[in-house]
This record gives sequence, structure tokens and C-alpha cells, in this order.
Amino acid sequence: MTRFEELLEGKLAGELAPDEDREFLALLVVAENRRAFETHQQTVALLAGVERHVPSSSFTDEVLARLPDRRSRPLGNVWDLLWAPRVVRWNVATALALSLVLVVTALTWKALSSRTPVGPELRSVVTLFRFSLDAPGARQVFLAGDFNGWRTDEILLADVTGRGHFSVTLPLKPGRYAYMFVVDGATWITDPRAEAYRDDGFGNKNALVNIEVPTVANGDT
Amino acid sequence: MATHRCVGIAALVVMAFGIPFVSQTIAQEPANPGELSRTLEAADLSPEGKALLRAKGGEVVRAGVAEGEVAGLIQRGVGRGIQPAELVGLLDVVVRAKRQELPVRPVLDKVKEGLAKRVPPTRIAEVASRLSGELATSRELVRRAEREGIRVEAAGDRERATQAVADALGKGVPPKEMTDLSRQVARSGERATMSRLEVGAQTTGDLVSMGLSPRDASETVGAALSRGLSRHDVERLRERLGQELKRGGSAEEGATRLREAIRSERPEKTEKLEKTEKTEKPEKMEKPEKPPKVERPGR
Repeated sequence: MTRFEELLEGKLAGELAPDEDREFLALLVVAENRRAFETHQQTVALLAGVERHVPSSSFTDEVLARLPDRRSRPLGNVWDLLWAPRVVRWNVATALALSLVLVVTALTWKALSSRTPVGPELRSVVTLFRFSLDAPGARQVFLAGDFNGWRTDEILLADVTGRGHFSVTLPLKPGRYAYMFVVDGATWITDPRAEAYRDDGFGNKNALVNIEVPTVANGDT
Repeated sequence: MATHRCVGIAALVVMAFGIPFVSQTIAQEPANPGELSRTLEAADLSPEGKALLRAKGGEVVRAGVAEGEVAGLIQRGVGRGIQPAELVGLLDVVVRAKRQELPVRPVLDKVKEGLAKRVPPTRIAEVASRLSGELATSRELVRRAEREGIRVEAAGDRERATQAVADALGKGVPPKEMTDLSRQVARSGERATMSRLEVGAQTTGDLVSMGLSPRDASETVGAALSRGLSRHDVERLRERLGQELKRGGSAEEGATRLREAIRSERPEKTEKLEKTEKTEKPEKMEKPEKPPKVERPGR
């Protein structure tokens, strides 16, 4: 609202102070302001001549009765929400931030989905598996396989009885592992009592151990 | 208008702090920075040799293989007295597999195995390359199987199936047999899962190792899968074939008897067996991090 409009409102209501009245008169020098004032004066004069009717006591009820039924319908509200045209106010900063959020969300989703090689929680369950080898006369027996990156000096089997029966128990996650025994640091021996075997490609046969995944609700993983 | 400006500024501030945090979260597995450099510094190699391995090692790391793995491989190779140029050949096999987006773990394991067994590097590279080829073929079979309706139920199922199929191919099972097997799995409705393709391929390979022809092996496993036997029971086919072989006769005769036995089993029985299994190991699922009190004597 401009200053003139404020003063005009006060003038029509007869509420202007003397200094405001002087200010108002000064602003009437502008032709546009003068025209606006004259228009408002004419309107006031017209309104003064209008006959006033006192509404009947049932006026409000009659008007409400004639109004169309516009009770709220749930589906109608949803429809209006979806299709009613509306103005969305935005600025470049918000749009930029929203775009960045979308890009980062997509990247995060992709990264997180590609870094779950272990699989479901069940895959982290371990089973204790005992490896053993009868090697009478052997001084040391090590175990090497997929489970320890084929390190030949890491998993030492113990000969508890002193009769050449070497054994070790390892916690293994579900999966299939190839392995061999290394006797006295030089001789590679295939487990003669393994579940299964696989040619190692280097002229030997790896033993295989299969650690099963515990059965889950659908019974088959 | 002022409110909108404030929201925009706040959003930009959040992004400014959020992006580095998210970037850190989605970054590759935390590597031990400089591990490759430290390994090479400590290695007893000529400057040229170190430069060669630094360049190739960096290439493998940039391709996405963990720096620790690359450093470990170089350390072992140098420890075995392998020349830098030969080690570069081994790293080449690894990086090629990684660039083809193949499961790189089996390739790394094969190289490590070869180094541990003191196999000549050229032979290691040959065997690891062959394995990569099998993994590539296997991946195509698995992708096709997925297109034909085999479902992936858990993260990692696809990769495990790829490795199992590659394993079977390595044992001499032709791709056609694997394709037939995957189609049988695909036709099994609710049971058409990647996990069943994995166990099917794995067991087929095992039966071939026991002396069955690939055709007999895949037919036997296919009969078990069609019959709806559980994963455990499919894996037990090795043991059952072993028992059949002990009864005498050829491997083919043993396989025929085994297939007849599978086909004569009532479906109700197989379902019942599966239900029993479902309730057998609940404690394992409830305490995933704690080793359950299960000891498999092995022998």
C-alpha cells in the first residue's frame, strides 16, 4: 500500500490528523491521485444513497440451504491434491541442492549395493571344521588353502598323541574351499579323506571342503 | 521470499558438509595407504624392477583390486625369487579379470596357490588365465540363466553361482550341460533360484570328479533338482554315488541306479525332509557372529 493509499483510506474515514491532511492535499497535485480520490468520493456518494434492507431472521439458513452440497469427499480431496493447479515457488539454490541430493543418493545406493559381497547374515555364520592327517614320521604339518590365501606357515597342525596324527580345527564361513597339507615345509599332500577333489592345474589335486549355509525359512539357501 | 532463500542456503550448507561425508562413506574399502610403496621399498629389487612393479601394481589398484592384495602378491612373488617382469605377467592376469568385472577372488587365490606351490610363473599365469576364461563363460551362463527366470535371492548369490559354474567347467563339464542344468532349474517355479543353480553346478562338477561322464552327472543332478530335493540332499548326491559305486559296477550303472532311486522318492518325502531341515539349525541364524557349537569331525 502506497503512502497516498494510506492517506486516502484515512481521508475517507475522516481520521486524518491536520498534518496528514496537508500531506494528502499536497499529493493530490498528481493527476492520477486526484482521479483516484474523485472516484472514491463518487463511490461514497453512491453508497450513501443506497436503500438499506434488514435481512429476515431466516436469511442465513435460507442462503445455506441454497448453496450446493460441497461436503468433503476423501477421494475428491485426493483428486484435488493431485490435479489442482498450484504455483510452486523455487530458487536456483534449492533446485541445485535437490539435484545434488538426488545424485548423491543414486551414487550411495550404487556403491552400497555393490559392496555387499558377503551376502546375507547367514553367510557370516561359522562352522568348526577339523582337518587331520596321518603322517607318521613327519616333523611338522601345515595347512594351506583358499581360507588363508595359501600361506604355508600359518596354520600348524598339532600331533597331540605323538603318533603322527596331526589335526587342527578351524572356524570357516559357508563356502567351498580348496586346500592341501604341507609336510615338513616341502611336500604337498592331498587330504586322502576329503569330501571332494579338484585338479589344481599345476599337476596336483586339491582337496575340497564344503561348508554349508544354514537352512533358512524358504529352506534352500 | 526470505524463507525460501533461507531454505536454499541451509540446503547448500548441508550439502557442503554432507558431500564429503557421503563420499567417504561410499569410498572403496579402506586401504592401507602406501602399502604397495612400502612393500616395494622393502623389497630386494633393482630400481628398474621396483619401478616396473610400482607401475603395474598401481594399475591393478586403480582397476579396483585392494592395495593390500596387490602388495601381498608382490611380496610373496619377490620372496619366491620371481623376477619383476614375471610378476608383472601375473598381475596382468588379475587386472584383466578385474576389468572384465569377473569375480577376482578365485583368480587371486589361484595365483597365490601357484606361488605357494613354487610353480613357475608362466604356468601360474596360464592356469589363472584359463580360470578367468572359465569365469567369463560362467558369467554369461549365469546371466542367461537370470534372464530365463532364475532369481537372485541374496547379495553374492550371483557371484557364488558364477564360481560354481566355472568350477564345473574347470572339471570338464561342457557349457551345454550347464545350460541344460540351468534350464531345469529355471523350470522349477518357486525353486528357480541362483542358490540352486550354484549347488547343482557344484555337485555336477563333483560327480564328474568321481568318474561320471558330464552327461550322466548333469542328468543325475537335474533329476534331484526336478524332484525338489533340498540343497543339503543335492549335496549328498556325492555320498550317495559313492555308496552306489561301492556296490560295484561302472560309474554309469551307479548313476543310473541313483537316478532311479531319486525318481522313486515321493515328493512328500522330499518336502518333509526339507521342513525338518528348516528347524534343525535355528541357533545358527540367531547368533550369526558367535561360532555355534557344531564340530564336523571331517574324518
